[in-house]
Amino acid sequence: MIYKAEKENIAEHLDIWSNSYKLYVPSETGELVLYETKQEINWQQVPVWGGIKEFVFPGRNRVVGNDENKKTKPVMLVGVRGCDLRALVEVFDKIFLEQEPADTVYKKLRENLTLVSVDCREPAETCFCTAVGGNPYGEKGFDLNISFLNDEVLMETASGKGEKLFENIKLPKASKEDIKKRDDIRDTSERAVKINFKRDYKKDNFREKIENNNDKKYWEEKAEDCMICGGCNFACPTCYCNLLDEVSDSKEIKKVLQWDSCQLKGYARVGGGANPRPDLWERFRQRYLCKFRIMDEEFSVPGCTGCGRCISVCPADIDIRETIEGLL
Amino acid sequence: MSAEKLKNPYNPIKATIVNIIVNAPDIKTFKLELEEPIEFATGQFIQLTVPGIGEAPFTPSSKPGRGKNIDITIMKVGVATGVLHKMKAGAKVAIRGPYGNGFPLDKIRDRELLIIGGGVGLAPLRTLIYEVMENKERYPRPLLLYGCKTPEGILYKDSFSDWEEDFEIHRTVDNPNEEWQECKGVVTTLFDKIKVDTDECAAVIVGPPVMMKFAALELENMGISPERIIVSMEKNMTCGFGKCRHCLLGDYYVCKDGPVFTYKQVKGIPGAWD
Repeated sequence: MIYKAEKENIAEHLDIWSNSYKLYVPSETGELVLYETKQEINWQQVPVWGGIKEFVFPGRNRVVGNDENKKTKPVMLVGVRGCDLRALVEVFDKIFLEQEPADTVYKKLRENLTLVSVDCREPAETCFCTAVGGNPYGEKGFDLNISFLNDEVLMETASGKGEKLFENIKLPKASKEDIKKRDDIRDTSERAVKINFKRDYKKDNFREKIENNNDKKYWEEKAEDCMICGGCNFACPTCYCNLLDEVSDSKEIKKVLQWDSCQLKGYARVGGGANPRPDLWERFRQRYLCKFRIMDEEFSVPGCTGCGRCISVCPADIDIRETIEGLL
Repeated sequence: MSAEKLKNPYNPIKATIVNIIVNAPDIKTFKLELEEPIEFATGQFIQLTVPGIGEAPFTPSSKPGRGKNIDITIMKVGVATGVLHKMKAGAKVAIRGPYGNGFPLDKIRDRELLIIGGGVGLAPLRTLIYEVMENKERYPRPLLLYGCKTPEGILYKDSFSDWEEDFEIHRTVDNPNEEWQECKGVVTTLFDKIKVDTDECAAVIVGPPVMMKFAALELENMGISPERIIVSMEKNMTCGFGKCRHCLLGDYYVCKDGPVFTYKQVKGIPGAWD
């Protein structure tokens, strides 16, 4: 269902929903816009820093020895972007819910989450979702999607969870013209994103180009400034590599799941010391291979949604688009 | 929300070390009693928790099947195994699993079977030796080739006399002592001593990566198809069920697509033997 509302109404709606949900909204925090439990919402800035993976797959989370039956208030995440939704639905849900065995901790957090996405109207210069099969608006996985028109907003529900939000809110349905207006705005945003990276992962065959290039010199040159901080992985909405930290005490078995980075030297090392990728260039290339070949094979989508966070986070100014461009 | 209660896959079963056997310098077999039974097949692995220290993958070395008692033979190589080697009977550990595919019985039964072990690699192969001894009619001619650095390093020293009833056995060590009467050199030197039908036989190799690499290469050169050469890979299997990505080898998850592969599957993958 697509409803139509006035811009000013959104604050009232969020107010109503905050009675039943713990609300996280994109909000300015220092120099960054983060998902916070604040009142002031920044609807414009893309992407919201930190993204949404922290909400279903926290950076460090007790997975054994926690109280699994503890009840928590439902969480509503407002202002989610298409790139992050795509990572959640196409990668995270597949690996942690659909592929057995399901991760029970993820499942609980995921089911507790209501996702309110928003169309991107002012893509950042690091955005390139359209080059990797995405769009600057939510296509699936949202419960409610908000599209800002000029004075009005369209609110599209896509699940029972989303429909439930309007049980006590009466709104008119959007007309065909309203939807046309929304789609025109979306087209404009799409064109704006396309300027940032005029490539298409399928047509330009990123996968094959990466696979076929095992030229040590090329990758060494691209990785030359890498500081091996792992920031690109931690900021990435599709990266979920993790390690299990053993923190049991004498009374109880406790384990903590913690994000890991394939760029770190010890990532694939085994107990005896053997390491299949001791050199940085191999690990650097592996990240591209993983995203555009292995994940593509596994999830039928590349492990990159074009959110551009790896570009903004990199202290060495390494740009994934330039690395790929050099291979085409 | 869903009606069925899913099990937390990270939650291990508690276990007690009931006995410790010293097999060789730096290699011990830990006899465990689990609070709940598990069922494992030959070549599958488990994740062993050393409480407060770490968790690591190991292949059991006792008879495959269902039960509360399993043996794990472990070499001291890193932090977790170092702490484990200092533990005494009565100490508490935990186990989850089993994981992985195990040895492909359909590929090795009813053929001449060449079992090739290197060092502590004999531990997982011991489960296969049990499989052969329990199902003699399915293994027309089993051979066991075993290589070790030193005679002291040989695992299960007392078992070889039992195994000799069923297996043709050849052993070699790199550094013999005065009493050593058998072969000297790496395990591939034993290949001259055996006669097998290279068009039909199957081989299973478990040992250090470099040993598997050269043994497999040599067998292929002898004419054995890479599809009938079976290896068990060791990579960083952290979760055990394909959700942490650490053990990716090419497109394979060693933890769930392996750890047992045909040589054909892995021979060309960069980093396979590192």
